[in-house]
Order: sequence, then C-alpha cells, then structure tokens
Amino acid sequence: MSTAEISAKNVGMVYRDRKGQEITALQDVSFDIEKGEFISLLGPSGCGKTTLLRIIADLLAPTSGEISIGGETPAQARKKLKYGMVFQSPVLYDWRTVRENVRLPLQIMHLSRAEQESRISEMLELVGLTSFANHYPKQLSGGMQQRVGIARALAIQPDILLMDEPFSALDEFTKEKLHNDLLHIWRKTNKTIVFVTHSIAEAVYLSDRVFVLSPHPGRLTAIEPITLTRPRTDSMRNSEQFFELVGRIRNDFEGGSI
Amino acid sequence: MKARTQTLRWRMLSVLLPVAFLVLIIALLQTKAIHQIFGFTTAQLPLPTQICTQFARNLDKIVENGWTTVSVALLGLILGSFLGFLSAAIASVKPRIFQGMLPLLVAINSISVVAMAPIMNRWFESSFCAKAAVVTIACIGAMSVNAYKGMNDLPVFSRDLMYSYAASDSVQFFFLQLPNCLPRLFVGLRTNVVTAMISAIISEFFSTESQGLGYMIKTSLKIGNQKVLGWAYIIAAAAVSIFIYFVITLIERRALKERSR
Amino acid sequence: MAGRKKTLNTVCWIIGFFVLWEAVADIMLYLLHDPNAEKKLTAPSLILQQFVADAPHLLTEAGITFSRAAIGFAIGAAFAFLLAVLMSLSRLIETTLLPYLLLSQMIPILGLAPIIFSLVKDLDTARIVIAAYMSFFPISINLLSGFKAVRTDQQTLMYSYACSKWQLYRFLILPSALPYLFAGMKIAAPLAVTASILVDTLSVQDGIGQIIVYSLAGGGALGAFWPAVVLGALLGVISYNIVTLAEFILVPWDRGEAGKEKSA
Repeated sequence: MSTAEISAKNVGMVYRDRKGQEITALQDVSFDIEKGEFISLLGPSGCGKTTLLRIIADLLAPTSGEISIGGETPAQARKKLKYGMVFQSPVLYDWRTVRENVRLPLQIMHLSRAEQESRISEMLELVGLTSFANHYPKQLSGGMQQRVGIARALAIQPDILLMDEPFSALDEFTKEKLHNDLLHIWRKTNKTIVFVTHSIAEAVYLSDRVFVLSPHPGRLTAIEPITLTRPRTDSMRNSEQFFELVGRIRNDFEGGSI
Repeated sequence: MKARTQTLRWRMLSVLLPVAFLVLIIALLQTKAIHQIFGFTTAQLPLPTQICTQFARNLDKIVENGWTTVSVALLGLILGSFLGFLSAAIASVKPRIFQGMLPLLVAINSISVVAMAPIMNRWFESSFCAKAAVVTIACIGAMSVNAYKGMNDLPVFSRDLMYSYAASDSVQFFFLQLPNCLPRLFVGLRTNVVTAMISAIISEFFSTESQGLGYMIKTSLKIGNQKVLGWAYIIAAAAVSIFIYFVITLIERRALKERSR
Repeated sequence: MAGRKKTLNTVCWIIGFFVLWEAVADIMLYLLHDPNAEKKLTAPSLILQQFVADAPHLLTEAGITFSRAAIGFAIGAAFAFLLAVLMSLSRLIETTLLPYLLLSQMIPILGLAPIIFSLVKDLDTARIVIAAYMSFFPISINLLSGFKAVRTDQQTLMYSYACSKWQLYRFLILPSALPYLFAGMKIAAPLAVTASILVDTLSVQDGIGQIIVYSLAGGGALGAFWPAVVLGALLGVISYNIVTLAEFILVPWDRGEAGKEKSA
C-alpha cells in the first residue's frame, strides 16, 4: 500500500428514495490523503460531501468501492478510536460540564483518572477554555461550545480529525477567529484533517488541498492545491493570490453542472 | 423491500403481542394460577367468567350508577376546565396583576381529593353539587397551566409582529394567543378526563348518597359475597374513562387537522 | 428581576387567599352567627390553634401516612425504572406492554384502591402496595419517553467512540432521561400520598385519613377535622417539593432552563 493516511477507491453511494427511485449520492470517488494534510471537501448542498465524510467515519457504508484508513477499514479505525469527529452542532451533553464533556471519550476508553485529568487540562488549554472548565454547555456561546467539541475530538489523541461544517452556524467574526485557532491546533498536533464546508473562502484559507465536489450525481470534479504559504494570516484573506484561488475554484463549479 | 416487510411484521406484532398478553393474563386468572401463587381465594379475586356473568346480570344497575358518576365527572370537567382556561386568559392579558394567581391555583389543585371531598360535603346540601364541586376544583389546575403555556409560548417575533401592527391586548389575544394555545387546550382536557373520573369516584367514596360507581365499588367490596360486583363496577369505570378519552382525542384530531398537515 | 417580581406577586396572592379565608370564616362565625360556621369553614387562625393543641397526635399520624407513601413511592419508582429499561432494551417487551401503559393514563387507577386493599389484608402492606402501584405508571411512562427522546446526533457521537451498550446507557441514555424521570416523579409523589391517605380512610385504624373520617363520623373531637385536612393537603404539597428539590440538586444542568421558564 501507499503511504496515504486515507485513500478512497471508486467509492459510490446509491440509495432508494420512498418511491423506490435510485439516487446516486456519490459516484466513483477516488483520492489519497497524506498524513498531516489539511483537506477540505467543498461543494453545494446535495453534492455528497457529508455523505463522503460519514463513509470515512464508518457512520455509513458505501454501496461500492472501498475506503482504507492507514491500511484498515473504517470500522476497524473507528473501533480503535483513530479519528475524532466534530459535528455541525457541537453535540455536547447538557448534563456534563465542559470538563466532563471532554472527559467522556476518555472514560469510554477506560483511561486512568490521572491520565484523564492531564489530557483534559491539556486540551482545554489548547482551545483556550481553561477558565470555563466547570461551566455547563448552556452557559457558553456558540463559538465556545464548538471549541469544546474540538477539544473533545482531540482528547482521544486521534490520527485524524473529521469535521462536518463545524463553523457553519457561527457568525463571521467568530468563524475567522476559530479558523486561526484551528490552524494553530493543527500545526501543534500535526493531525490529518478532513474538513467539510460549503464556503469557498473558508476552504481556501484553511486547506492544503481542496476537493471540489459537484451534485447530481455527487462526484469529485477537481482537486485544487492551495499554494498560500504557511502559516496563514488574516492579511492573506485580502491578498490577490487568495482571490485568484477563490476565483479558480468558483470556475470549477461553473464549468460543472450545478 | 426487506425494510418494508419488516415494518409490516412489526405492525402486526404490535397488535398480536398485546392481545396475546391479555389472553395470557386472563387465562392465568381463570385457571387460578395467580390465585395459587399469591394465595388468593376466588372470593378475594374473582375469576374472569364470574365477573362477566355479574356484569351481564347487573347491566342495568351498572349503567344507572355509571351515568351518575359520568354526569358528575362531565359537569365538573367542563366547569373546571372553563375556570382554568379563564384564569389563564386573565393572567395572560393582565400578567402584572394576575400572573401570581396561577401558582396558587396549582397549589390548591395539588390538595388531594381525599381531603377535598369531606369539605365539599359540608359546603353543599346536595351530594351531586358536592361531588361536582370536587371534580371542578380538581380540574382547574391542569387546564390553567396548559392554557397559560399555550398563550405565552409564542412563535419567535410573533409578539413583535403584533406590536408593529399596534394591536390592542384583545386583538393580540384573539388573533395570536388563543389560536396558539389550542393544542395545549386539548392536552389539558385529556389530562382532566382522568382527573375528573378519579375525583368523581373518590368523592363518591365519601358521599352521603348511595349512588355512583365509587360508592358501589366501596360498598360491594365490603360485603363478602358481592366482591365480584365491585370488579364489574371497576371495569365499567375504566371503560367509560377510556371512551371519553377517545372522544376527546377524536375531537382534537378534527380540530387540529389543518395544523398537522 | 422579572422572576423576582413574579415571586412577589405569587406571595401576594397566597397572602390574599388566606386573608380572604380568614375573613369569610370570621364573618360567618361572628357576624352571621351561622350555627354550622365552624363545620363549613374554620378560620386559618383557629385551625392553627387546633393544630397546636393536638400537634403530637396529628404529626404522628401524618408521619405514618407519609412514611408508607414514601416507601411505596420508592418501590414503585424502582419497578418503573426496571420496566422502562427492559422496554427500551427489548422491542418485543415494549410492543407487548406499551398499550397497557398508555391505557393506564386513561383510566382512574386510584379507584382500584379498595380492591387492592381487599386483596392485601395487612393495612401497612396495603398502603405501601397502593402507593407503589400509583407511582409506577406515571414514572415508567415518562422515563420510557425520556429514553426515546435521546438525540440521534448524540447517539452518533457514542457510535463513533465504539462504546459498549452499558457505556451507552451509563453515559448517554440514563443521564439524558433524568429530567423525564423527575417529570414522572413529580406527578407520582402527590398520587402516592393521596393513595396512602385513601387507604387510611378505608381501614380506619391509623394515619391522617383515619382522623378525617373519624372526626367526620362525629366521633372524637370536631376540632381535629380541619387541621387533619390541611395537614393531608400539605403532605401532597411537601412530597411534590421534595421531588423538585431533589431535581434541583441532581439535575444542575437544567437549572438555567427552569429559571428561564419561571421568569418568562
């Protein structure tokens, strides 16, 4: 096998709607994602980007093709807790404080109490929520809740971080702040990140490569390398190179059939 | 396809299993298996066939006493629900003065029927009025709480919309709060059906008048050879209660048909 | 601020209620000279006097009634918990028993008290059994709907952790159903008390209900009736508030919500 962290070969997903008609959610998707890469799955709604992420996460089984995660099936990877997942909504447990929410997967892994504590403080430090450790989720803002979600996903020390439109419900200012936080965390922890989004600018600012998906049927139409230098800074959002990349990806869509 | 046959199978099972369970219980009673396990005599726990025979033999008496109870329950249900609704409406339109009234009503409502029935017996000469009063008081709380919630848990910005129309309190009430509380009204009504039946029966336990399902249940159980009849009355009470409940559910479906679409 | 205002308003209404009660009772007694005034409506001040005069006896009997109700409540809650868990684990059990749980909400189960009393001869056992039986239905049905209301995205999260069934219950399903459990217990607690008092009145041996019936029948002091009725009413209110307090302590994450609802 290659050195790819995640590789997809001819992945397809077909399901039937209520009337029994076949709907192709994904068709013949193949790619390789290298270790430590930041990849965005970008496309309009209905292009199958979330379906693809859920297949990688073993939350859905593809109807054709296969996915390998470090040489293993998604099910094996899930059972070894090789990936952490961040959802569209933070999916926090109302009855647990911030600290206890981050503890949840560690309890499930039967880590020792000391190990749990050290990882929790490390993670809360990383996402900047140390002083909110004993708050309940309902007492936090949307952006803070999503940061708890990220801390919880990272707490299991996964190789991969799967993120499903994690910032889509947040306002623009919070979102841009979290972009920088996420890139900082990524640089420090060296994870492989697969990030689903419908915002071209977001994909460009964050990613090493952007996977462009088009709907009806959902398929991978282009892979755009992002040549912006690292580390990314807010001033880059106004750079010519940034607009050029955004424009090029927009053309990818207009060329396809949306 | 496979999924569809599976749902069909579960739909069949959801009828068959409960029926089978009922048949099993009846069989265990009839064969005296339950009697043997718990050491009951058939005088204490009559056989299903005995109950059925008594039910058929005393049908006229059961209908007569049943009607006494149902008329009390229905009158109290209507009066109590109306008063509950009224207090919720007043509290919603003039919250500054009246919102504190509702917790008081709920507290009065939590007074058990057992304590309320003797008091009402002292207040009213007629035992019918006394019983109806108990039921009325028992039915106020649930309705007032539900109606108040329905009148005040409004869709986001709907109050602002009314405000932008410069709508008066009464316009806001009739165009927004009243229609909005309709589903909750039925929730309160359904809760009250059971409350009304329970409080009617319990107040008949204490009633000076020798009539009604409650009175019959209590007295027939005291007399040794009439215990079977007590069971027949219990079953009648349950049946009547379920019937009224279903009638209200039917009206509810009709009334809310447009909304659920 | 709004919440405080509302509390103040409620306090005013409660004070007003007692003032009105006192006034009506006093007018009937002293102005109208109604011979049955004390029977019909005894003034709160007089009830307090009567209560103080007979406090040890009243409290002992109330204690008997309340403790049996509490034991029955605990037993009923335990069985309800067991059944709800079984039903959430097995679809077969759920399909079989759910219709009967739903029916239990439509029938006057308290009417069964005399029958159960005739089956269980011992008074104490009868009180406990009937209180348990009354508590059982509302708790089990609320808990079951709590188990079913678990959000799918939260279940997905647990799935992504490859957790065991036991962990799923311990970390997700049980805690998220806790508010529902308390909703059921709030309905059940006053019912258990009512059931216990009702059995008192059926047996006429001891308990607060026995005092009510006894003084009603003309035996004993007339003065015991009103304090007993008020005490019986209080027991129901107390039981409800104990459950509310337990919820406040055990479900700290919902406090903000409850506060919001109160002030709304």
